[in-house]
Amino acid sequence: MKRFTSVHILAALFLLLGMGVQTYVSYSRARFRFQEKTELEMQIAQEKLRFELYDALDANAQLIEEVKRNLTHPENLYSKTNELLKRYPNFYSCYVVFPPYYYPKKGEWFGLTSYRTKDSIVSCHFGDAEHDYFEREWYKGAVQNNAGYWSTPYIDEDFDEPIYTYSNDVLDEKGDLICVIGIDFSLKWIHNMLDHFRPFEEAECMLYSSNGTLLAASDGAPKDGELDDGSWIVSRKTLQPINIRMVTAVPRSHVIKSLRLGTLLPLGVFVLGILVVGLLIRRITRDEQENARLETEQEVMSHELQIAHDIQMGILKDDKERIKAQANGDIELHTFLVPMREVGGDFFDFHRKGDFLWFIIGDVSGKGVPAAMFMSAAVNLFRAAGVRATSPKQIMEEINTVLSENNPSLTFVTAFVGRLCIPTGELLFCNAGHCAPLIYSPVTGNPSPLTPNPNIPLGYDGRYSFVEQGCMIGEGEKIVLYTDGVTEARKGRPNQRMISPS
Amino acid sequence: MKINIIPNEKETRVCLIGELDTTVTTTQVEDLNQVLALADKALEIDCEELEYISSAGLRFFMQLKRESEAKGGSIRITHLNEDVNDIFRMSGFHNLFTIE
Repeated sequence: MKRFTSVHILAALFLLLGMGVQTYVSYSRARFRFQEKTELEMQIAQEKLRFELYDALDANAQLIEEVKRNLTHPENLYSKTNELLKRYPNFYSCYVVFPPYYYPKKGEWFGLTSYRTKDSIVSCHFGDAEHDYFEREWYKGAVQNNAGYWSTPYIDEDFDEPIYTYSNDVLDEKGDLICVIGIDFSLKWIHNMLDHFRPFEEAECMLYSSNGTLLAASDGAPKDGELDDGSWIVSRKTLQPINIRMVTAVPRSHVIKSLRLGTLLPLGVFVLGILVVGLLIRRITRDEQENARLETEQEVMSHELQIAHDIQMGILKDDKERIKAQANGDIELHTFLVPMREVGGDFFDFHRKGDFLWFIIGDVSGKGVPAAMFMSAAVNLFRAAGVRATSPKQIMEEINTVLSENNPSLTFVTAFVGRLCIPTGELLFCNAGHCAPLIYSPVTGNPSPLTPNPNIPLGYDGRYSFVEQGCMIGEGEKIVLYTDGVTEARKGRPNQRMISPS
Repeated sequence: MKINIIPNEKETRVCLIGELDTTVTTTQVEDLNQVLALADKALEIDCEELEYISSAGLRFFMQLKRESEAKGGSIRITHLNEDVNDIFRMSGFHNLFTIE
């Protein structure tokens, strides 16, 4: 009876512990999902900003051309500044100012501007002792910077809008300063975009300039100081090129609330699991000692197999986002893996460095946990070697050296490593006893196998010098890499392999 | 799987008959060890009646080669049938062994 009670106390403790762990895991996941979505929105905001700022760059380029054409009659520039304001509704003003005594007759200050009032566009002379533009941030910035200069923003009192200035110096052929041109533009659209930048309805969004001025905030945005009081989960990003600080915050309580439903199901499964384990424990107390030991061992084994499976799938995760990021629009990647047991010896990996797509596919002899351990070693070696390697041969030899070093069981690995130059289609590859990849032509639709030198499998002779080969992959062609268990061909049916050897 | 060992002064002939797969490498360890014990000799592995080989079987060949290299023996593989030969060729075992 005493034992029965202690079993129940133990089960209750486990249950509590399990609930704690489960809640924590679900919370972390929800938080991760939130952050992922927020980051995506921030990325969109960044792109939108670049797109909007393109107007300023474009107008600036037009104005430079116009200045150079009208140096003898600078007054002609009024029509251009006026026209730019008409064309770009976000522009607040547009001006051209000359350095001291550029036109001796015009005096120390000579500039011209067009600016927007509430109901019209005004063009006039700009600059005098009172309006000394030489001291302005945008003038100094443009003269000191070789490229264009983005000023820190200010809030315009008439329009109540955040205003930025983009200024640029115009130089003559000798490199001397002709003038500085500037465009003031409003980021009013940012106000309107705030709602779009919020990843959830409950989230709030704030935009600050680089000097900390609040440019825009959604209606329920937390006040200064409230952000870090622990009740918000906060993400920050600086939007370039004008260093707008974007802050997105979601109430922690919202993340917790979103958990409740999601937690119920796994928790139910967990409780059921605890009950089953509880029943098992009771059985153990009744059964013979030997049986009990075997059952526990089996539990542990299957648990460990599950862990091994999770680790393996983690290493080989064919995460859609990752594939998309590596593919980068100029190449398509698809992966597919179904292990025959909880853990298997098949593996693949790929990464992109600039124009090159590096990939590996392989098969470890044998199955189960030992094969999986060898497999994860192979993938990690591929990743490590890939950081500095310049050729598939080099990667293959590095993996082979390490796998051969301490291999008393003589587990071996067949593998194929490739480096595809995406713009040219040049494929460099090195094979270690793996089945030949197929190339599908979009024209014929028929597969033709590559004819790689098999070299030797990995793991036997660490000093082996591998032969590297190359070929060209045409636009639209597909490379199909696979493990068909060619060394595991169906017993008694050797001709029923997925691909017949050629 | 049946293994016939025919000793000879110059070269010992080992005939592998049947299928060499995981079942064999786990249940006939003693038989395979007998072959490994001959690794210091010149061996002909006659595969005329070897119908099938799995990766576990290939691993046995690797073990044999390692032992042979360590003990100063030699191995040549003869009479591979077409299917088994394909497996040897594609997996790179052709480059590890003398195959006739």
